[in-house]
Amino acid sequence: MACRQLLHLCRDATRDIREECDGLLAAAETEPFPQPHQSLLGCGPALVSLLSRQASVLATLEELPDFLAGDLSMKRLEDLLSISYSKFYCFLFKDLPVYWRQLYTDASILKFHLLLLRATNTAHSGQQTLLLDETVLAELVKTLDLALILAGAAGEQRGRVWVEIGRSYVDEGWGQKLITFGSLLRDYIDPSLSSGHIAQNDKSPASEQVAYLAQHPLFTQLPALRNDILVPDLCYTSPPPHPTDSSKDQPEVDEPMLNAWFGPPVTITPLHNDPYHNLLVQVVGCKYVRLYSPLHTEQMQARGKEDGVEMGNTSSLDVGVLEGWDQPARDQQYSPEEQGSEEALRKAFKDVPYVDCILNAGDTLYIPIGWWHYVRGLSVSFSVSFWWN
Amino acid sequence: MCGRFVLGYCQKQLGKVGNEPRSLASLLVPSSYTQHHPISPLKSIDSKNNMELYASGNNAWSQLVFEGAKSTSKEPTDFTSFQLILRDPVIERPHASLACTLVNTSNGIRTAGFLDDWMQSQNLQGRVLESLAAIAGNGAIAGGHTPVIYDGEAIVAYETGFAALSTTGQVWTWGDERYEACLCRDVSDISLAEEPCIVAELKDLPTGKVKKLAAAGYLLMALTEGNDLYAWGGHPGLPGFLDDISASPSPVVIADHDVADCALGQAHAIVLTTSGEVYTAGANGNGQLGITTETDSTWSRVPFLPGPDGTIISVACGPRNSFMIVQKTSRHT
Repeated sequence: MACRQLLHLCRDATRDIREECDGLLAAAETEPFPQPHQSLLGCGPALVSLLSRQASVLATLEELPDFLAGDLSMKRLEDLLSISYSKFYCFLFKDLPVYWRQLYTDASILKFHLLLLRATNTAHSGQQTLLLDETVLAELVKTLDLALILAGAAGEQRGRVWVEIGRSYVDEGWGQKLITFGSLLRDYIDPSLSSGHIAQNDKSPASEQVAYLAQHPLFTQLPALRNDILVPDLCYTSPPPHPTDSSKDQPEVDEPMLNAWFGPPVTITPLHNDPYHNLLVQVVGCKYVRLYSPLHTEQMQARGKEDGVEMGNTSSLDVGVLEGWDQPARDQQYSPEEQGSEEALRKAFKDVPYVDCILNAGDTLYIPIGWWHYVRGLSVSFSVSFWWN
Repeated sequence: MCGRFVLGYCQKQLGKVGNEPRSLASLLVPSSYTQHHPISPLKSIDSKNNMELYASGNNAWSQLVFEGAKSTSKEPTDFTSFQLILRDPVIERPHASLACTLVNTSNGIRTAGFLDDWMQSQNLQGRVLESLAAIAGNGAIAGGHTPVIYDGEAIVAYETGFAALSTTGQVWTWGDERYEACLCRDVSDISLAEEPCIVAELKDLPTGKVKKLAAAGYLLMALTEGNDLYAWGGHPGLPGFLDDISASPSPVVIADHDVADCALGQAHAIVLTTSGEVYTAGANGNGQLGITTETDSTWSRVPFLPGPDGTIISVACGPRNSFMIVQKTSRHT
């Protein structure tokens, strides 16, 4: 019966979307020079009307199933998703107008409704309870998860997360991938988990690589998990501004920003600094952390703008390589002449004072704003960071 | 972030367009679930109507329907092959945005589909049709009412920037610094990403100077006077639909053909060869390739015959549809 309730919710959501679209279009018609808006109308009336039309097609399909009309509507919803998704690439995420995210979310909700409607229509033949096929369920969950993760909507779903593939985010070949939490556990954290799956592929192409669920707003995605965490009182204090560079100071945040960090050993967060005060709480496993003072920023050899993206908060020095813990990446191997300057670099860097420690489960480290830090997982590790100012 | 190269204006106007009131009823435009025949074939050649416009692809806003009844409540379907959509003594190269098609005819500018806000300025419609203005995927407009470059001939836009061609065949680019491959030049303090700068690599091509530009998505193309086609661009996170696309112009090879005309959509391309054949490549989700295949990374010939008295003279693209113009020669002369 849960399925019928879900259909009811969908029907309401679809009606709301249609009413909002039609209201906006009507307002646009009466007001010849509307002010620049953040509403859905920012996408342009053509897209708003296409969305509204699909919502009314759905309402008709509720009454009268029509496979052809359903297929066309699914195609239009896919069009809307790919049109709005292409805008996510056009803009830096912070500059992305919110209406493109709303269009993506609304189209996802309609797609969810349509998928559910199709599944229940085919299952209708005389059954008392509606059971959803696992593949249908997976498709339904994926639709909403993508809306949540890509467009940052709110709602309920079950786990799909961005992970970083590669040792460190400044490595060549580093990338981001959207996978289910189950696949993160099976393929990257603990391969023994997959041994139960007899039909599983023998070769696991992923196993050679390191995956890291880094800086993930897991608690926004799964609010239930957020309840397991108490924000330390310290996060409600007023800490001092940036010690050397006031241009780094950010507007005051209302709530501390929570991020989850989960990965196997040898995940690395390269040497960098953040524009917030940070409490790094180790929940499971242990991590090595090294800190350099903001007074030594000049020796940190900050990166500049790379491919149009500001990387100035990240050092070009690889602590792991300089200490001899890691091999330099293949593309970074040095010619004999370069080896000399490399040696000089190593020497100079050795002289910069630092503090370091190993964080064990239950430990919390306070990293003041502007301090350079290098973090290296030593075991399977789960940490939570709190940013505040 | 694009403020520096947004020349001209983008006047948001949502009022009425001509005689067409913007009501919801007018959005529910004609179509049927069967094959489209927007214009019935003429029995005899009308010497007054000797140009034809054919189209294939996205029709979600009925932007491929210039004529015919507009009274059904059914959703318009896409065209999966090239079909005749307009006949007129004069048909110039159309401009197609996501939801609308503009075309200059003997009766002035004709429109089909859903006019974008920015297109409602008559001045901008004309400038866009003449390639004097263009709008990028991020909403930036170039050439709105003043030329961007001295001696400018044509401006094209891609997702996050622009390219312009001068009458002397020089190519200029400007746009978002993150996608340097599209700019086709090294960005530096003296060659800023967001300021129009000359692309040196397109200056001395073996088959003469550039005579035409095309751009869309994260791909750009230049056609030389010797009918060679070059392409460059790319987005590091998105797979392109053509092979060997980089920050440096590379020749686009379509069998042994010389290229007479080209156009780019969001994720597809159309090319007219000097032998009068049309080839397409890329995404086909809306039928924009005019052929029955999914996505193809190689060029496919479109099985379209303009008839014994017809010649394909030009091609064009919207983000998700394609067009070709056919010139009919009168049999009476």
